[in-house]
Parts: sequence; C-alpha cells; structure tokens
Amino acid sequence: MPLFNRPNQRTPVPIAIQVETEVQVDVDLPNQNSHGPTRVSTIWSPSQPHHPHLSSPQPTTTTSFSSMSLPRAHYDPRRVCLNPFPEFSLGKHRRTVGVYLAGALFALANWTFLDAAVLSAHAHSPWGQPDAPPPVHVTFVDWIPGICSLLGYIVINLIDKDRVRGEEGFGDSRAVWRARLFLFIGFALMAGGLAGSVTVLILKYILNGYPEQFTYYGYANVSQSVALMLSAVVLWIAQSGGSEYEYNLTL
Amino acid sequence: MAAGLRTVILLSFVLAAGFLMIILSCALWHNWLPLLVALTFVLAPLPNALFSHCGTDEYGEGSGAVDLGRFITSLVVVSGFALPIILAHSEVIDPKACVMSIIGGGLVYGTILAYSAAFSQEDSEYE
Repeated sequence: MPLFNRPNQRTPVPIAIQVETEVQVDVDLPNQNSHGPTRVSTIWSPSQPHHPHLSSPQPTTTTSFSSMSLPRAHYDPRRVCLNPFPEFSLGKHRRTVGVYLAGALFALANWTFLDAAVLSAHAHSPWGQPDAPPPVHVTFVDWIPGICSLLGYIVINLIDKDRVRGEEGFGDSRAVWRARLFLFIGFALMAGGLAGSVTVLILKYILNGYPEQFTYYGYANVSQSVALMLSAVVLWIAQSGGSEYEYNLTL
Repeated sequence: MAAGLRTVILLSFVLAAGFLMIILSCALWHNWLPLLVALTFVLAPLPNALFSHCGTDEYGEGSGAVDLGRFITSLVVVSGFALPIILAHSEVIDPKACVMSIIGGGLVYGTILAYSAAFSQEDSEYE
C-alpha cells in the first residue's frame, strides 16, 4: 500500500538501532487475494536517563506491502454496465435456482403466446353475436416480435461472459470489441421484439376497437416479450459472478 | 440402504395412479390429447440425466452443459403443466380433464423425482 510507505525517519537522537524483521503474515488485505511477504521494520531510539517518562522505548513501525496494487474501487472499471446487479443471498444454490427459474420463465413466455395462437385457431364469434365470424386472427405479424425476442435471447446467451468483461491478456482486444457488438445486437433484438409487440398490440388490436376477447392476443404478445427479457436477465444474473471467491467474500 | 422394498412398491403404486389419472382424463371425454402430458413428464428428467455427467469441473458447478440440462428440464416441466391449461382454455379438452391430467402428471413427475432422490446413493457407488 503506498499510503503507509513512508520514507526512513530521521530521529534527532544520534544513536539509532534499526531492526528489520521479515515476517510471513497470513493477513487478508481488502481487494487483494495474494499474500505477499510483509516487511516490518522497527526503529526505536534508546532511552534517555534524565527523562523518566520517555524511558520506555517508542517503536515506530513502518509496514510496506510488496504485492501489486489492484484498483481499490468498489466496482471493476472494466465492466459493461454502470449499475451493479442486485445481490441475492441464495447462497450456494444461486446458480441452480436461477437457471431453473430462467427456464420456467422462458417456457411461460412461449406458452403464453401459443395460448393466444391456439385460442385464435379455435376462436368463437364475439359475445352476443352468435352468427358473426371472429373479426381478427393471430397471423404471421403477431409471430414476428416473438421471433425477434427469441433470436436476441439466443444471441445474448451464446456470448461468453468473461469475453465481454474484457480481461487483460485474455485473447486479443478485438475479440472483446466483437463480443460487445454482438451483445448489443442481442439486446437490440430483444428490445425490438418488445417494441414490436407493443406496436402490434396498439396498431392491430386497440386502435381497431376489437372486444376484449381479441385484444387478449396483443396482451399475450407483450407479456411474451416481457417474460423473455426477464428470463434473460435472470439467466445472466445466475451465470455471472457465481464463483467461489465471491462466496467467500459474501459469507 | 435406507430406501427399501417398501419404497419401491409405494412409488410404483403412485406412478400407476398418475398414469391412471392421465388415461382416465383422456378416455372419459374421448379426446386423447392429454396423453401428451404423460409423454412430457416422462421425458422431463432426461436432459438432467444426460447433461449432469458431462463437463463438471473440480468445483462441481459452472459448466455450461449442466446449465443447459437444467434449463431444458425446467422448460419441459413448465410445458407439461401449461399444455393442458392451454388446451382447456381454448376448449379443446374439458376443464375437468385438464385438472385430472395435471394431477396425474404431477404424480408421475413426483414419482420420478422421489425415485432418483431415494436411490441416488447407489448411482454414485458405481462410479
């Protein structure tokens, strides 16, 4: 630590004894996981006989750590997102629970939209008018936002998380750039799917004034995109930063 | 061996009851679509069984293949519960058939889970 690295003190006493001891101390430094050798050098001046209150030796301890210094901030400045992800205290099973939850959300998203599609294929006439045919069906336009979200989901989850974080000396630096580009494309596809589903809901169902029985198709589309995004977020949280080292820090 | 012969008999009875529920939900309304639920729940533990043996590092976790197996497992289980609900929602099957097939599927999957939990000790002895 450069904070404690003071230069050698000049004491006014002409006789100074310097004892230098090298001790191996198993001490946990903040933000450092390497245990470097610790040099403790003790300088004291001999006691002066005409000053009884100074008779005891006054050691001045200078401690210097010879390990390399890492950034001492609370966050890693090389990472992508500015805000830290929320920490869940599920402990050791965090990764397992997160992956199961993400799979369940993924299935729920797709079944929500498939429910609308099946319902449209077996659609009844509107309530109160038994002879009129159903005015609207789920067509290929409704499938497009879900397909976009699905493609974005696949792209996001195919990217190696360590590659995006950009470790120094880990492959070439252009790989980090390319990984971030593809991550951006994935997020853009998911956001585009969400925006597209909202567009379909408004333009196709709400503005035409269909009864609630049929606007359900649009709402199912929107909830599919939202659940896919939630699933991606849960999977990302579960898979990133779940190493043993962080468990030791948090527990 | 903690789980004895009595456990096997009990689990097999529960499994038979689950299949009975599913088949009844199909046969009573002459609509054999809920049989897909039985197929789904039988296939549900397959991905975990396949992927759990490939690629575990020294920490016992952190492999992508294991995560993929868990992901597919949970996807299939949720599909098994969602399928009869959707079929009942669009009035392809009767709501009572939906409830019966969900209960039957839950019994079948619970049997599989309980069996693998009760006899997981013998699996590790072979390795």
